[in-house]
Amino acid sequence: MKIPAKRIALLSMLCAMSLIMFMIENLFPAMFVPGAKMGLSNIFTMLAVLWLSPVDAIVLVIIRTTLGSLFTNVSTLVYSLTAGLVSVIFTLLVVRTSLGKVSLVAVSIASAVLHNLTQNLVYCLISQTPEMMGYMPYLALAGILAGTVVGLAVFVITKTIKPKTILKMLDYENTDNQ
Amino acid sequence: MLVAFLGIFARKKDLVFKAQKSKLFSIWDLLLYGLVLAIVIVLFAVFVFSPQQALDGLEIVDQTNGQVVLTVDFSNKTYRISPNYAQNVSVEKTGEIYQFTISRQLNGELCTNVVEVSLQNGNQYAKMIEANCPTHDCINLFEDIVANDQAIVCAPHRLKIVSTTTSGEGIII
Repeated sequence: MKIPAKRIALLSMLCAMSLIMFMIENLFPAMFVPGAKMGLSNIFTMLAVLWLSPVDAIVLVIIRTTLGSLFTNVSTLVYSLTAGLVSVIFTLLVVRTSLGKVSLVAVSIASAVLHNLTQNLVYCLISQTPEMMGYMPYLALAGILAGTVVGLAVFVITKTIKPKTILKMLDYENTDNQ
Repeated sequence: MLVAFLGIFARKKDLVFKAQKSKLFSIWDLLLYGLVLAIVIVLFAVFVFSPQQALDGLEIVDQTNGQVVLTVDFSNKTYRISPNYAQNVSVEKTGEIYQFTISRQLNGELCTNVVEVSLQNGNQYAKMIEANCPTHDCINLFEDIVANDQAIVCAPHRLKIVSTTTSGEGIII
């Protein structure tokens, strides 16, 4: 299988930006609910979903969560990895089957809520603290807020960057003259 | 069927265009928003608006090894410090309000948490009032424990406070 260098470069750029966002966000305390964050690094996950292949998007999530938790706190890896994978697979399915019928903001909100709920569920199971389930409703609300912000950011980015620029980066024009 | 399945996993050129053309709101969004709203309503119905049991017992657990540090029994107004942690816990009493200072070594650092527990009738609660961790999530973000099945977790110090039904063990103060 041939993987063009430009595609790898774009993927690593997105990975790096996503990781930087993750690290910066980690400096700030959680918002309103324990463990809830804005998840701004998911802006770049969404971009990878839109611009690259599903495998690339999943690779981005794995790299970001693994490196991110190595740099900050290794014990959080299990939660962020499972939640990240579940929500990126959900995003991939929805975006690939019905983007255009649904907007980016709606997909972002749904997957942010799914992310938070998965993360809390995994936390409850692993640390054997079923009492933390009581925070589920608030985490869902935090997910709606975070998803809106991320969705709007992705919306603005996709409107600003011309498709031509991205297609040039991905070497699409060599294979297709559309 | 197989083609459609594989199609999901291929790279798509028109996604780039679709993303650029997509609007801020489309009609099928209502389905996703409705789904999210339904989940939120169900979660609130199950976890927030369901009747809460009065505070009965409290456990403070060291999550590094799963051992119980301290148990409090609200109905009998007793507490019991686990023998393994006798040197880690100090107690300060003002009326029926107890302040438990728990300090332990974790990765070469001294981790201190102060838990305030009130055994007053009609005003029973437990909360974290001090911790020398960098985030202070356990003090600022977690709600005070006032009913059964609530928890406060201090993630950096790997300490959790949970309210559960008591096992009946305890020393009368």
